[in-house]
Amino acid sequence: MRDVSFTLPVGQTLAVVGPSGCGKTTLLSLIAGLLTPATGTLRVAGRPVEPRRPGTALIMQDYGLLPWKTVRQNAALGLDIRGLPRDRAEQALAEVGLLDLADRWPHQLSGGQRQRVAIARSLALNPDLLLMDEPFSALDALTREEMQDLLLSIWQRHRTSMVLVTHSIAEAVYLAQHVIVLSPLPGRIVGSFVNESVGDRRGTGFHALVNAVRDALSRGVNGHG
Amino acid sequence: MVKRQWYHYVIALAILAGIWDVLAIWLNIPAFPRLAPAVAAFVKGMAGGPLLKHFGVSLYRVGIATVISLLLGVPLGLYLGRSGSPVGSVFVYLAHPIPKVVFLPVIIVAMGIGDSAKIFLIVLVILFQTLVTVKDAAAAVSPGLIRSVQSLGGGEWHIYRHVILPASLPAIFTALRLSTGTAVAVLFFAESYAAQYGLGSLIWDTWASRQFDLMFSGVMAMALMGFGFYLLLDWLERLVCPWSETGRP
Repeated sequence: MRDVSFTLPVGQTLAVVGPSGCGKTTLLSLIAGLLTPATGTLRVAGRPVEPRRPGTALIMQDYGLLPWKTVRQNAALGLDIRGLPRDRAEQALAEVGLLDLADRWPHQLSGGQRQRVAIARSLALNPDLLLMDEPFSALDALTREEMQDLLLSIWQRHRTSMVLVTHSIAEAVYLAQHVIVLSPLPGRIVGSFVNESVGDRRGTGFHALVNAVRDALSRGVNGHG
Repeated sequence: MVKRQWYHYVIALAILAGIWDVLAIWLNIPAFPRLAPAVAAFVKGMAGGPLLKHFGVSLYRVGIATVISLLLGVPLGLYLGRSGSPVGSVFVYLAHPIPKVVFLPVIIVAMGIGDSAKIFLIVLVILFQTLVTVKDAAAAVSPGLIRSVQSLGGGEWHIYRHVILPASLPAIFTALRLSTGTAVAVLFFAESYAAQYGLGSLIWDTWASRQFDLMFSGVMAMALMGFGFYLLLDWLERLVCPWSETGRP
């Protein structure tokens, strides 16, 4: 990654779009504090990123559910680790509509349901920064839109700052107020957009921005960034 | 997996009994008695006879040895697998293939002929089996699950507690199944020298005095012990690993 610099105002949402292998996942790991940058600085809420920052929640591409824990136990995992009471997990499961399946094992769930558990697990921690790595890439089109709507409604309720990494342009434009586009390695920012049409899949604003992001993406891939 | 029913056991046992009796008739030697007198000796010995005492002593030795090797082997194996310590790996691979039973004479000199020497020999053999199996399982844990716990703020303790240990539990049960079989075999060897009680000594003594029905009652008691361990482990695994019960591939 080279010369990647951006600022996300508190309570807003950012999508990072880029081709496979441009360092999107690395960027998220850096923000989450799972990796330390070789050069450069990263600040979350004004402070340099520290590993295991309590307010940061990361939702991974493969959801990261533990096969030996039930839905309820998985949702409460972050609370258990932090020694907090488990009742917030129940609330979070209710919020994603999974309370009925709380006693199932992850392998008994559909992809969309597993994604919901992962979201509930993060929500239970009451984060101020939610990081998501290709959260819906493994889902079928309808489930994906359903999950996008769920995520949007959660954001509207909690106003959590969110950083979302995706290779879906439409997803980025539907969900995020800010969209940045990365080039292939070494990843540089080849486009940065402010999005006025969050939560709208049909309007002209949506389509115009999708096209602008697509142009930036192909400029980056073809190397005339 | 096909669910096993009680009558499956009955049928399998009947086949085993049939093979035994046919073999006994065909061989026609005193050292291989027919089924009926051997079973009679077994029932008589177990119902308050000396066989029960031998069985209890042997069970105690194998049981204690298994618990000790589990208490030592599981934490150490999990640590070696998780840390990937190269010295630990090399040590285990060097020490594992050494046939430990050859140390019985040394152990008897050092520890005498009591229970502790026999238990020590069994531990020496099965500890390394446990170590190798558990270490490999702990090393094979998906890094994604570890990252998942880290991303929730978990440290090393949480990684062991929520990922490494539960992920290795099926392998720990595999190690236990292997080691109980081995433990009974090593027990037989350890009890063959200067032992007053134990199924191994019973088998050797009755062999020397040509009481072959009694000898086979000891053989049956050993088989029963091995089978008992398998049933116990199956039950424990269902209890401890409920997630694998629900049709996970």
